[in-house]
Amino acid sequence: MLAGSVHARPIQEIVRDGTLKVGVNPNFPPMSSYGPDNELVGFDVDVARAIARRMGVKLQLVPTEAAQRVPFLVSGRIDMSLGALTRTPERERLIDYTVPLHSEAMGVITTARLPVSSWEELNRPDVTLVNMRGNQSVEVLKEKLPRPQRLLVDGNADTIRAIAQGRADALVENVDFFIGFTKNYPEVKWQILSDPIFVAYCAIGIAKGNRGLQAYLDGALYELHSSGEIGRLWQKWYGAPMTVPIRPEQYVEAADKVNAPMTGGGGSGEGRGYDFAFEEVLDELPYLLGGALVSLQIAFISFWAGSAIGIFGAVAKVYGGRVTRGIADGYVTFFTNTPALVQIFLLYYALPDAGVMLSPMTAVLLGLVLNSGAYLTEILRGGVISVRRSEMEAAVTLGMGRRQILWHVMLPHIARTIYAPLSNFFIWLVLGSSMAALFGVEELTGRAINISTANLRTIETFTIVALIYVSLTIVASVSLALVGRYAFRVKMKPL
Amino acid sequence: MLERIAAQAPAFFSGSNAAFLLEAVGRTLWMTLIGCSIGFVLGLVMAVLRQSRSRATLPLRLLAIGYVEFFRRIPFLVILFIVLFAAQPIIPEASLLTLATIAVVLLATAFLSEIVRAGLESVPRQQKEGALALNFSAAQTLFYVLLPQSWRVILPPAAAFMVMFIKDTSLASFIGVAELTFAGKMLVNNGFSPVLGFGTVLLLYFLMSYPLARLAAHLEKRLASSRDR
Repeated sequence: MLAGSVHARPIQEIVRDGTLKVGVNPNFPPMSSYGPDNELVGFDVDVARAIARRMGVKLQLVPTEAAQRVPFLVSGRIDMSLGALTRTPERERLIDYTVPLHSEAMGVITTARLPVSSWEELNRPDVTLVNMRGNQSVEVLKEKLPRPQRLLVDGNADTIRAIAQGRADALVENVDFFIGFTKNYPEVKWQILSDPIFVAYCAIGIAKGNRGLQAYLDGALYELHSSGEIGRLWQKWYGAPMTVPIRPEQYVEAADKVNAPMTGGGGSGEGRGYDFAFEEVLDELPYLLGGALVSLQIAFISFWAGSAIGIFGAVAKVYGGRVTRGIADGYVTFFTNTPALVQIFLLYYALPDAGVMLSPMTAVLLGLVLNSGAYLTEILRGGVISVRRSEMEAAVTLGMGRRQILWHVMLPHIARTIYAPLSNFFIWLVLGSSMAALFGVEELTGRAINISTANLRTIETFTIVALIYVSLTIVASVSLALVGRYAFRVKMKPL
Repeated sequence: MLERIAAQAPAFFSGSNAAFLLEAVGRTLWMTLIGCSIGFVLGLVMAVLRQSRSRATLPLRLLAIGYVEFFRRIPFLVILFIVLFAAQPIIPEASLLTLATIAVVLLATAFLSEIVRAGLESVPRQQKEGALALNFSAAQTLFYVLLPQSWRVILPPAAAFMVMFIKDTSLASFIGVAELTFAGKMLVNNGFSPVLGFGTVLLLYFLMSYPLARLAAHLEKRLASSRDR
């Protein structure tokens, strides 16, 4: 199904097409972000523009989240990646780098809540460090600061928001990159510890083996560094010089290549083919299966708590007066016509402003329970109204009591009507629980994202995760169908 | 909290933000409409294929069954990831919006083919036997006998599925498609209050989904009553 070959454009082809495709992060001010006119602006954007101008081609900016940088390069969606790409051995297997573009000195952003004066003091189990998935610092910190708890989020803005709202205590990262967001929370007493924990270097990422482009970019960076252009741009966007400047010897090797002709440069530009490596993911199978258990838990809790709401809702809709019916109607209409994802966003990000702080898991569960409640209200209502009036009258004529009617007439009818929709809804919840991943909950999909941002085996990881979901839901469907057949005499096809 | 919302409201409801949100609404609707329409056509083909009983189509039928069972059993989010990273080597020029739409097509095909199949199977067996007795070809049976009688069963759940999918496309925000949820996230990241940003987005989803859901329910009622007549 998947062709193994990957198309990386050699520099000749870029020049012939007249467009250079550059990946920049859409949510990373002042590096790159959408400005007031909803156009991308920032340091990276200006660097990209300078390179495109030098190459004499048009610039096409491709919004690329941190975790997408390497996959986008590998697949040829972008020719080069900016976005503070740190050089690491894992990435080195899949992509190539130019000489450094800028340095990255790790410091600490925290608040007055946490009285620390150096980064070593953060190594306590009662401290929560926030970080971004896909950032190289996640792995480094596991070694340097093993004891604190961790919260992984997906965007630069989310890290600072997490600290401002009290979900986390500190961020250990390149201070320059994140400080811009602190102005969104002027009421928080921010504290910056800038003694560098360690220094890394960020370079421009290119597809593996794209030698011609690499030589060209090395040369371009040499010129941009030595003419002072990069220093000027850094000063423009960060308001200060680079904390640790790039030393000339780091790019002097590029000097030889400065006049590398655009048409030559060696290297075909065809990256080596993509080799599938499922073993790397299979090693993580126990971790993934643990995540599947969390997914099932989320589905179970949402299902049963949602059913409790659903019973009230259904009774209110069928037997309630005008007001109760109106409330139940409004609840169902609102929750079934808006996405659960955005509801949870609102619970997770807006409630802290009102002083209510929910953990990611609680927010997701609350959102899914409220959602399930609305859908289950409708399913259960369908069950209640399935009982025909004539049958009720017959039961009364036979002199049955209320309890007998409920037990012998209504419930069997209701159970048989709602069993199949309930089973389907449960399967839907198992799949829907994957949403929790977007809030940092480590269920099956969340763990898949964690693995794939570390080993960069995205396709393999998600194929295996898809198979886990399929097996999980097939087991669930078959067992639900069997229970239905023998306990409620509901004829259901298991698949 | 309320002061913050009041202070930000004039800046939030600016012309450029409104245009930005409307564009995002457009992308949300595009993914749903185009994705589900293509999915419906493919689903129809798949369902018809599964109706055939000839030995020659057996491998195709098995493939169709496998496809439906597979794609109905993985989360949309996982499909999005797989498409994002697997489709790129094949179509590197495709925009993120296109890739998300492909993911919608993959999922919609699986669900809609089941809906169409249920519709085709709702036609009484005698009708098919009648067609056979009249020496109708397979195509004639399909177009003159099966489809005219089953579209009333197919249309209401198919419409409901499409309306439901408007909400599910919000997950595409995660791979960077600038649809409605993404737009809300961006406005909040630029410093607007989450209540304002996500509240507005929620309202816009409701305005899209509610009228269409009512329309689908109305359709169901009308078609159901005309069937009983």
